[in-house]
Amino acid sequence: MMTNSLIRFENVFKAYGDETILENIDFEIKRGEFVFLIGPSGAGKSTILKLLNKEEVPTGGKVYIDDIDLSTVDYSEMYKIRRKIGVIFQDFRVIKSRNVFENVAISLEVTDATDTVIHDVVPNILEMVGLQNKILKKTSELSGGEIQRLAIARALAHEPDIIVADEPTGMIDPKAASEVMNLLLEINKLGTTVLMATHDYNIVNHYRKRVLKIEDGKLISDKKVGTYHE
Amino acid sequence: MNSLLQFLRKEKMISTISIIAIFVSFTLLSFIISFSVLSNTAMNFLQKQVQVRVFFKDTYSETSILSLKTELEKDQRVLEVGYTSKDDALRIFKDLSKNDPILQESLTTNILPASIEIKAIDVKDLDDIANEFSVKEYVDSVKYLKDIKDTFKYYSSIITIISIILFVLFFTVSFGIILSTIRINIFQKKDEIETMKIVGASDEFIQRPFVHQGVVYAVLGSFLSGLLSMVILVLMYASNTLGLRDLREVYLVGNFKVHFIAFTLILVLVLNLLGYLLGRFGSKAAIDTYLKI
Repeated sequence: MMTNSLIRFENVFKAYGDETILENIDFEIKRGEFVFLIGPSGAGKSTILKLLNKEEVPTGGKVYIDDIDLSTVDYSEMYKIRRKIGVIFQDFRVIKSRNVFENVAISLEVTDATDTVIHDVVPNILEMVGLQNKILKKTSELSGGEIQRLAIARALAHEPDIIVADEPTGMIDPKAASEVMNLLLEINKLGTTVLMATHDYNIVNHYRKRVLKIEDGKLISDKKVGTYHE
Repeated sequence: MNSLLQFLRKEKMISTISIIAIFVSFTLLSFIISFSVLSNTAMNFLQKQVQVRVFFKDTYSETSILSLKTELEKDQRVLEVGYTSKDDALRIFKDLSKNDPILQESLTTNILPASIEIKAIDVKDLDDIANEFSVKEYVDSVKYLKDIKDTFKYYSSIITIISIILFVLFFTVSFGIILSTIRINIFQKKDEIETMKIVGASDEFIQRPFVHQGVVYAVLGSFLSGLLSMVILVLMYASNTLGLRDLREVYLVGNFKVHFIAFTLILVLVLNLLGYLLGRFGSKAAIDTYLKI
């Protein structure tokens, strides 16, 4: 069935042995939306994000990306789906053995982009995230906020349809967090769908976007312009 | 390729140990191959020496024997026919027993028979030829050195089986070396591989540098061992060790023979090909298990 959604969860259930992580998760996100996925630590937010790129597979139900049922996609073919998604990890996952330029370039290298394209695109992306002066720096020389911006640059480099951000402001100071949020909003304005997991209610209340609230593995609310109270 | 060169530079110890281990393993492999080829050559040589010797009764005239010889030379199965007259036989006997005067004196009259030696094109025909002559009335006896051929064939089979077992063993050891080295490298880059997968790297993209690394180690190790084997064999040939220069040609497989120097070149090529296959499939096997995320 063709729908207008870019991300769709149909009655998704996830358990590790006897421990239920997610239960009856049903939602869809349309192209161009900005959605906060909120809930306390351990609620199941990260698991939902991992289901999107098949780092995890559901115990029951279906996950669709661009109307493709991920259960029908073999692991060896998942790279095609993953190229539609730019992931910003909570722990950044920058590659320490590579410098700033190389960390961003990897997103393009995996698509077999030519050196010309890489040398054209990467400086532009780094300029967009404000790292143009750090292009040849080692990642160990960057601050927390700069590393987070580097992770965003890497997620953006191959022009994905979706940005999935797992607590992107969780490990940085408020000023850097504000910069990261502004960046994500700009990206969203350019048409990229953003799904951001967070438990920072200040951010959610300030930006007033659609909010999916998860608690104890259940989707307890889905508000078009939501707020978040602890 | 850049990341491969970086790894070789950074991990000099692992790279050097791996290349040396493969070099040693492949050198042993090359000895096994050389031994097997030389054994096959010796087998072929010995088979060619095996012949049927037919001794004639004294009543059978030399003219008849020579006429029989001419007839045999036209036989499709026969490679060569030699004739030893009674007088030739006596001369050979005297020559052989010249240091034993008592033995020489004991031979007052020539009791030695005339004979012909028959070499077949295919040794399998020797049985038939020997049987055909053994029933002739003018034949005194037929000597056929069948036992030597069969004994050598028996030992040659054992050598071949042992060679195959050792070959498989050393090839497996080399495979294990490649597998372990690549796994160490994969383990060091585990986080990088996971990140690459998440940003959309295909399996082939992730495999590529590891496969290159495995191929470089195996081809380098096998090339060096091939080079060493070639030098040793050429030196043996030049100094005529084991009569290799007299031999000139060796039998690679069955009856397929090449010049000894060509054999050394083929050996280097075969070792390199084996090295390439080993590196390619060994490293692929090592990385495949880490791609299921």
